[in-house]
Amino acid sequence: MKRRLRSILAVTLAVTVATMVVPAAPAAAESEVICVGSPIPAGWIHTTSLSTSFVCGGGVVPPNIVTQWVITNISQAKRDDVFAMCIDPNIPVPTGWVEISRAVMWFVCGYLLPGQGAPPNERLIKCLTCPVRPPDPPAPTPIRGAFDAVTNTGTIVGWAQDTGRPGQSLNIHYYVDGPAGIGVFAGEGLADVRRDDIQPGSHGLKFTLPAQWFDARMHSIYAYGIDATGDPPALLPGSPRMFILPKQPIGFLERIEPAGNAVGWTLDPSLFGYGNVNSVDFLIDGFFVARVPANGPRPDVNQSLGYPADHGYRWPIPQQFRDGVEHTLTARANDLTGDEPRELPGSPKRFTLNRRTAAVDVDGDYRSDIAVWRPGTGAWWYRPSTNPPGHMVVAFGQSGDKPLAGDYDGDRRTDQAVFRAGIWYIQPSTGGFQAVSFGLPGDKPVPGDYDGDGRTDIAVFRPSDTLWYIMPSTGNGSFYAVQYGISTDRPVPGDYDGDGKTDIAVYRPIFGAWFVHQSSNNQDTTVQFGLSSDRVVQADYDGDGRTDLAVFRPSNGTWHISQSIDGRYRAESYGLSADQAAPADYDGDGRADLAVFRPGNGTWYIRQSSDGTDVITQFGSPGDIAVAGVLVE
Amino acid sequence: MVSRSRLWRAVLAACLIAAAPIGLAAGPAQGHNGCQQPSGIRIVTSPNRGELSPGAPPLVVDVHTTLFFTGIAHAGYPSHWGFYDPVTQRRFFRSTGPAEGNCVIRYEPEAVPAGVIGVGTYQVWAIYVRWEDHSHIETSVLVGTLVVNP
Repeated sequence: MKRRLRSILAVTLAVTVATMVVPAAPAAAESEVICVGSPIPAGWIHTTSLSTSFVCGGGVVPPNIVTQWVITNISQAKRDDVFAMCIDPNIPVPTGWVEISRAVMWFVCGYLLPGQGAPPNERLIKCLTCPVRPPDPPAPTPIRGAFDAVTNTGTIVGWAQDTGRPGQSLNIHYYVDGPAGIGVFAGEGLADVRRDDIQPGSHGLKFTLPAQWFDARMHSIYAYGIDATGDPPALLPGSPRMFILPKQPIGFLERIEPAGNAVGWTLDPSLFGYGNVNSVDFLIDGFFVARVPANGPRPDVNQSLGYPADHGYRWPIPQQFRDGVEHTLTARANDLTGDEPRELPGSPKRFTLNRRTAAVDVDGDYRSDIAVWRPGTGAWWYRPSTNPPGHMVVAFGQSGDKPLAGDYDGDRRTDQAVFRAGIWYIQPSTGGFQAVSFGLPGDKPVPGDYDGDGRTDIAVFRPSDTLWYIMPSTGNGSFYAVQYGISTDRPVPGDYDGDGKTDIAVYRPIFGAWFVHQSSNNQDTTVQFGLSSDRVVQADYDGDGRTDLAVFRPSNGTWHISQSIDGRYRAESYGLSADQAAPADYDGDGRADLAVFRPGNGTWYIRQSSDGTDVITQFGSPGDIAVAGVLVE
Repeated sequence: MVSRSRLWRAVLAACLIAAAPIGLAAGPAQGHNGCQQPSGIRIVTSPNRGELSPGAPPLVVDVHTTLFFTGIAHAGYPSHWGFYDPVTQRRFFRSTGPAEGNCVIRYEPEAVPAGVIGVGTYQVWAIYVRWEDHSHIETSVLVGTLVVNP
């Protein structure tokens, strides 16, 4: 054992020293230990000497007695390789090699201690006839990158780049539920999405998981970059990532607004569904009532969950369920890929709603009645919707008055009222007569339910000082003033925010701009919608309880409506330039119908929102003024 | 050539010694003789509110409870946990350290306050490699339901 140990130590020492003094020598050269004087095989050289006791026939030897040579195989050397060989008598430089220098080197070739005047004991030799060394193989150029996430839409997020070809986009292989060789190959894709932080080239991952992985189960996924320069595929850092992709439709029934709209969102999160419009089935008291597309804008859903497209819904609960009785609403989201529908979280919700009062409703059936006011006689002519062929005539007002139908007494039936030079004359349907001095001759009357008590309030807009003077029906004769608009504005009061209270609002023709002061939060909104020559016809066309911005363009008889229910724009041709626009809910479905009164022939044209059919009926005479839910100047 | 043989043995030994740390760190251990209990994963709680394992009733905790992920799995392999609230679409993922030589996933380093996961009702999933499965296939299992209350 001692000999073996000494041998190992001696070799280690010799190799270490040789490496230190001859750094040019190939590190991998094969070496052997032989006894001094043994024949040196062809292609081998004597490179150093050892002093080892009990070897090569000797006993204990002092450290300065050489007992063994270390020989090194140089047969595989390449041209220009340099080796150090001991200088021994009668041992020449190998054939094909030349001596390039001699030196005195201590601790090798028998010189164990430094001393003065010693002859050279080592020569450096160089091969001239050996084969040329092949070029070094290229250094590996590994892939770098990151596997950052799997989004809710099943899209892989990350990047990968081959350092050997930094400008080239890489192919990425994906395995699910295990690494390559164990997991399921889920597909491949080029990482070629441009990312400014990874340059040059485009290296962002772009891969969406196949539909089979949208199964509401947890999976692992491994991403491998396929090297562009021949290095082995590399598992991207961040692998494996876990993901759970939902299978059934998701969403919420968030609330039922005071105006009676069911509000929420839903989408089918499967690969083939998340960008498409899903639909919701609404059940009231357990019975199917309607299937509604969820296609309204919901930027919060887009942002928080990462799903594109529009997935919101706002569904006005039908009039027949606004009966003052409690009902139960259930929202059931459908699935675009054939999976089971799903009752949305938030369901069921209970609600109790009352019907909205129609604009002109003398018979109390919640449908607007056709009505005209005849300035010549001051007569109000009604055609009650409960008795279509019949009519009702009430004399109230005189030529020059402004007819202002409204529910001033809160009995859900329309009262006659006129504004005459600062005096309001009101004939409540419950009986009696009122004359209220409120306003000045140049004021524009703007009646509305500003306090939300269900009764029409007296109010005027004074262009000269741009003040709105409002006398709430709950105020016992008191009033307040609000500055809003400019003198050339057209007042367009309405319940734009759906809180049940009329909002102060103006339309500025020069810009076609609407300025609304929302009563719900005292915030102002400004929207450009319409032209200077348009007539404003704001009303609730979509039935969501909010007044929609709308104009009638006489030049081509076109209605332009900005629907508050989903923010979408709607345009429809209906009427002629000389017609009087008279939108109101004539069919009782909760939505204002497009309608015009043609004074030339005393005919009404009504396009019913409930079924799209037109009702054309003669009622009125030339010179009559249509009475509807909107103040048309 | 005796000397040559010695030299090779010395070199080989040196190589083995040098390579040993690389081999130990490069891949999962292969032996399972020390497992002595079947594979399985679970969540335990502190303060003790019960635990969640496959087949167990829902685990109800508050946001101040600390959850620990533990279990028995193939030595050298981690376990991966996923929490998914289908109502809010909230997700939370966590990977543990690898199971030790006795196949135990030590729970001490795997503490997560429930408040980090957030209030909600979660489906709890786990992916791990069973030591009984010599093909090293991942097992995905619905562990149960976790309710995190405020």
